[in-house]
Amino acid sequence: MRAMRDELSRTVAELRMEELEAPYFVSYIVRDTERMGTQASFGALLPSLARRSRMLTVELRVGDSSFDNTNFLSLSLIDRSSPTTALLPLEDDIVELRRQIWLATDTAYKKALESLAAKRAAFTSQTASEQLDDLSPAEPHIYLEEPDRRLPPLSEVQALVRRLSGLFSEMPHVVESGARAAVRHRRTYYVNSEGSSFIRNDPAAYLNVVAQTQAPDGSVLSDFVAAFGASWDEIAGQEDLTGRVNAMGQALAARQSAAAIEDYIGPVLFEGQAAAELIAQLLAPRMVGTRAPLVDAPPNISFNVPENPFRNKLGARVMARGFSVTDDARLRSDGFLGGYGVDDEAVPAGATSLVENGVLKTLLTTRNPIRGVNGSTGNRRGRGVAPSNLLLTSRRGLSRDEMIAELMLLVEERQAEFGVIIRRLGNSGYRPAPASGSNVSGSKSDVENATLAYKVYPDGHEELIQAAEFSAVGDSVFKEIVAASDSPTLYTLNYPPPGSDFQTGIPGFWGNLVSVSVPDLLFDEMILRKPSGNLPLPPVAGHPFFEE
Amino acid sequence: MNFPATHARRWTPAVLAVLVFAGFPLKAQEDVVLQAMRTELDRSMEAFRHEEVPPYFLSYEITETRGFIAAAKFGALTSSDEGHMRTLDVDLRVGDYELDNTRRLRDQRVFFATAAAEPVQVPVEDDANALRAVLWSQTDRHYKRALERFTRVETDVQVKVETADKAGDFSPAPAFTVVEAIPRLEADPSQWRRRVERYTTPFADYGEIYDGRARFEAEVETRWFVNSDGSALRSSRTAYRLFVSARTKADDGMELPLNLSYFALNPAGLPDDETVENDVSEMIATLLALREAPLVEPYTGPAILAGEASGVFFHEILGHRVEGHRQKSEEEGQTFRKQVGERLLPESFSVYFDPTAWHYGNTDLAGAYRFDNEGIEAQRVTVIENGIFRNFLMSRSPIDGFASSNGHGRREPGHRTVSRQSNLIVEVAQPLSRQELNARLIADIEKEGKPFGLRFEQIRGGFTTTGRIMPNSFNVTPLVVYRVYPDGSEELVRGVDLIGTPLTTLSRVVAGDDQVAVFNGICGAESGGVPVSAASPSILVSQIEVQKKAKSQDRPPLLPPPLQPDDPE
Repeated sequence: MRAMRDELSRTVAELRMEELEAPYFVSYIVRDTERMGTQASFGALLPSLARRSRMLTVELRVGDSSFDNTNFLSLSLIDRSSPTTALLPLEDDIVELRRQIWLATDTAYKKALESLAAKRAAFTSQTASEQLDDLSPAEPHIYLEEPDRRLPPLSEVQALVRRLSGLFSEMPHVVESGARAAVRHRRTYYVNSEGSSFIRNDPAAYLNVVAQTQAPDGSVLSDFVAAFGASWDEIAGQEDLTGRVNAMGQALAARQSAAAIEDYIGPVLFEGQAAAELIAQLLAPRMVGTRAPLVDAPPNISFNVPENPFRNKLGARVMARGFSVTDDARLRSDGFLGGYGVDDEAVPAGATSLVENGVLKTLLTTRNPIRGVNGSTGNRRGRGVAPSNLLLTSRRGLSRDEMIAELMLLVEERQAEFGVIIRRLGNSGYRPAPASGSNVSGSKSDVENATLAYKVYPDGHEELIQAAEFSAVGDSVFKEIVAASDSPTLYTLNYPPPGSDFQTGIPGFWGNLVSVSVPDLLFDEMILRKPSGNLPLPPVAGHPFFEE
Repeated sequence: MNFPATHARRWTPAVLAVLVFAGFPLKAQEDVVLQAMRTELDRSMEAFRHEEVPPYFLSYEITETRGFIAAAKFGALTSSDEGHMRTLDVDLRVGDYELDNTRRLRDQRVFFATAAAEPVQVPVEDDANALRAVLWSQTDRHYKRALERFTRVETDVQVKVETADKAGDFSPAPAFTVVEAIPRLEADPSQWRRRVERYTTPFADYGEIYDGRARFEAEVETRWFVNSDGSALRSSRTAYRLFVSARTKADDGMELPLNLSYFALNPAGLPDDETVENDVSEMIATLLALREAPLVEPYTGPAILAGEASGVFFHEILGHRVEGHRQKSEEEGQTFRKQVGERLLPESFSVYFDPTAWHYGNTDLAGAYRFDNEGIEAQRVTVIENGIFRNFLMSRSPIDGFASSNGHGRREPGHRTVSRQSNLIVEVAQPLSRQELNARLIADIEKEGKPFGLRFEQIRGGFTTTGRIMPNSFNVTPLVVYRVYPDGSEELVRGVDLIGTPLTTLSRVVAGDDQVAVFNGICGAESGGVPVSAASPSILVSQIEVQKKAKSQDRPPLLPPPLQPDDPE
């Protein structure tokens, strides 16, 4: 912190290129990260890593808060548009820390001046679709957390993934499988020229077991078991991991001989993990307020920056009446893992009411202003905006029996043969290597395929569905919710914001941890179909272990 | 393809390097990895035998890397990591030796033709069941890909014109069974952390040096290889590398980097602290001098390429063009395809590639190996004999007139094997002394009426294009260049790249001296990065061409350095 403060003082007082503007805002963030990760397959370890790094990111602005060098993308300056970063010494050597900060600041300042000049030039020939400031105000804030726990021995993590991956030696039907885990301990240091500073702990631990089988018709079926924690102990202490992996294996075996769903339009009940994944995959990205930069590109080059479709729906109904959504970064216990004391711009954590009684009230923001939202909601995580803990609540919750009854009522109204209950959804972050040239395990819509779903008949009996793909799931789907259960599922996942720096080298473990709390949800109508794509042929030879 | 900044300076190791592959060979059956690979390969060939289009060849190669890396900047440690990984490469072929699924599809761009492969991680533990599970799934995947591709190849052959080269796609080869001992990784992490800090501490005294770093790498690479010809190999190689690099900036914005690189087959072969520190001091002096050095304008005229520069020169303009597979592709320039038996260099020059040589003089060679990535025993290949072009570097991909591999099929794990360079060695039968070579340069300057000649002392690396679409040229990136005046005086200059076209430039090599230097590095091309060496004397070229170097437009840092070590805080 001393090196950052010393260099910040010098930069603010002295850094200026002749007649050009001096910086009006400078921040340094240093992520001092110790991490380890390992993987195993069929009871044997794959490569592991254990690494420490200190990465500095400089954010430097010239101009003023109403118009500065940011929110601008020039194709002619594309190589200068990336954030300025530097790898810092691992030791607290103030001379060398300051040297690297000095060099990175100089680079950032020159980039900022060039970007501002190019942005001003671009504004002489085009106008922005909306006139917004480039930096919203924030009160200076100081925050300090004491050093937190350390990493476990790597051998401990290796032992668990080895054991869990070895369970597949009892599952002849599983053709691809693996287990991986990663643990991170991070101290994040921040100072800015407005007087804010913080030191924050960002611990995270993760375990993921994946398995894949193939049905007789060639359909590739996969599933996963994932666990998160703020420390490795929180994962290793879970007693049911073996049982969950075995249950996944049994479900895959059952799905092999089940029939895939044919075209279906009708009511769908999402239970437990499926409801949470649905909200994480479909609603969470629509709750963040991202801003499209002004783009300076030649007229013959089209350069579209994707926008959140909910950005223009502030004040509009986006969910059924009675439903509300809140993001609460203050929650840091009782299983909530997405919380923090202060965000990456030193804005204190808070609770943001996003949807009230079905109406969209605001979006999650950083200090980069968006239309209709004043100030930051304290959701800067890495380079972009991300949720923390997302809670979906319903004014009226039903018991499980009542939910089933509601589903059956909808079935009856349609005079349909059956309804559908989905208990698990896939997640693109959890997949073994594609089997035998297969590309069919992905989804063609914003929502991953259902991996555990049942037809439910009026007499109450359930029939397993091999797989189901969603079709035409649009922005208005949440208005189709007709009922919610009285008990929510708390679920955590990796949420990848743009430019996340949470890379571990372990596939599937990146992004920010986001927890979602979601009740079971009953939708009046959704379209399901058999997963599309070419089906790979089964392997020519049998699995060597089971064949012999 | 390029030959990046991983070169070795001339130095004499205090201790002779010891042979790496000591120890008693083990029986192939006793090696769990080799046995698992053999068992699964045999089982696969038997299972696929009943398919309509069975494979006619299958090989597995597992490459294990155990390594340690320590890096520091300006005297402070920036990273220290240990690594252990194993990757699998599968070569499965359907069709026959004449025509198989690996044949290049015409009109397919090089990137797509070569970038399909990807490394597959396999367990780092000797667990036969786990290893075989990966081998099984990967074999199936490669078989299905091979079938698809073979269908396309068969169509391509029919709808396109005949290729100029009529050779088949694969050459028969003998089987080898060798199991070498696996050497230990010999690196004391705490010692090397201290050493890289120590080597970079002097840079901190100079505010105008904006980067000063060192990196130590220790690596033991072990390869297990089996194929359906009956080969079963386990071979290992060690590499210990130390890099020091620093960078300053001239007032006009030009980046001025310098590198030191040392390579040895064992840690004792690396230089001692005093040697490195002296080299660092010399490097700092050169960096500071370069900031004040005048720029050179584009120029043609005589020049000396000192040892390392001449090694890279031959690597780029000759070496890449004698890689056999380039004579097969209709998109390659095939510069030397019709030059067999023709004179390319003066009679006193011979050039050979020798992967069986682990040392040149007292210097260890990075491009040595016992077996290539197709399981073929390494062989010395004379490419130019007394100035006459004789041979190509061959993998198991034959070309007209060169039917067999000579042990130069190489790749980085995850890439498809092609013919690549190993240890390039240039020999001059009647070398001049250094003084005689300098005198020849001055004589040439005067004869040509030039105001000066050039001497290239250090280079960073280079690259060359060998295709037909882009001009068939090379670019060698010098770091330290001197103007040599007719009176014999020299002046350090900056700002030029050495460029040219291969046939013209080779024809202008006129003499070499007796001071051979070795350049050890990693050569990057379509089959990935492979370790190579180039040993060459300084050479006189009667006419070279230099062009202006691309330079940064950024000014040096605006503020002075924040703090010097001796400053009061």
